[in-house]
Amino acid sequence: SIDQRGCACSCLLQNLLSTMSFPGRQAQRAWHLIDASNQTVGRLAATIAPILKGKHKPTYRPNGDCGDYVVVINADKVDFTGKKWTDKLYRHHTGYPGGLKTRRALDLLQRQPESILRKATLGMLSRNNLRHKYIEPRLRIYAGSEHPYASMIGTDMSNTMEPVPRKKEANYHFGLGKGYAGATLPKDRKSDS
Amino acid sequence: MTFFASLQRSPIMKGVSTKTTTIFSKLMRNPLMQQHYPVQQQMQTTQQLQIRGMASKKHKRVIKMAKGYRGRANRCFRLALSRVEKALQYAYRDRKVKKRKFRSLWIQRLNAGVRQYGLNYSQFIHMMSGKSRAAEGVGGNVKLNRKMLADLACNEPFSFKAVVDVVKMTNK
Repeated sequence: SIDQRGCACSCLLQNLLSTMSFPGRQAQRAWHLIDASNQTVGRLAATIAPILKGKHKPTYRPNGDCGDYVVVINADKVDFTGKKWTDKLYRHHTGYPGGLKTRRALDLLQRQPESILRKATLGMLSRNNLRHKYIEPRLRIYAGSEHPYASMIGTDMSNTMEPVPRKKEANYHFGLGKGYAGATLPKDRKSDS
Repeated sequence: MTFFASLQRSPIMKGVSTKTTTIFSKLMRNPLMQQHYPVQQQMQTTQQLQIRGMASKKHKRVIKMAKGYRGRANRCFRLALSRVEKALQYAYRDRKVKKRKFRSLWIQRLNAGVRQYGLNYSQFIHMMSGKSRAAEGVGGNVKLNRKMLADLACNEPFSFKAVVDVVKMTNK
């Protein structure tokens, strides 16, 4: 149940069946929309990763697949602080001798803009079967502002999550806003705060 | 017809059930055979069987614990023994680790649950334990442990909200 009035972010709850070892209980997965323009890469990735993993839910279990879908748009407008655009290097080895490929962050932005945020977020998730088979496919990153999930998320852009603040408060609720999924009593009963 | 099949149907086997006993023991039970083969020999054979039984009991116990192991370790005693010993060591260690892991899981769930209401885990525990108003002597009335709180947060969201509200109210 969502407190519709206080909620700053959007999600449509969808009941989807079947997960890894989730006995007798359906996983409820929500869709979250994030606009990545002018947000710092690492800070944004650090808020996306726990949502994918399901750590924002009190029903979290590390062995069961309880995370949510995250759709990121404008991933090419993401930002690095300092001189990282020219100084940060992405390296990989092709397996052949002398095959160390090095690219600057700026070059990676031109070749595959989505991969900057993708590498950052996936590096913050554990490397196991749960992540490779179930969690990783739920992270959808798009370079422009178009995404094919209008039926899940809705077309108006007021649904996006708030930008990650530079300094988080102690009670930062995983970027979801304070009204997210708070249990609300029916209106005829008294409740505090 | 084979020799043993014809033996089963012969008058020697009369009155002896053929289901669970071997041909040899069936023969030995027949009174005609017992005249020719005296009782002492029978006693020897049962003694031998008993001695073999004591060693194979330990083997059977170990092999029973090795069910599901890969390769010949689920069948052969010498291969199974070291793997079973390791399994028992892990079981001993993990009985203690299980307590730690569950507490950690309860804390993670509590953290997620409590952040929905504008607090975080450390603030919540500080308020709940009564330390935030210790000078006034107020608070610390909620004696629920992390296990129960996490269970409430997971399964009883309205009750959990009530607990969080009580803790917040005593700490205004």
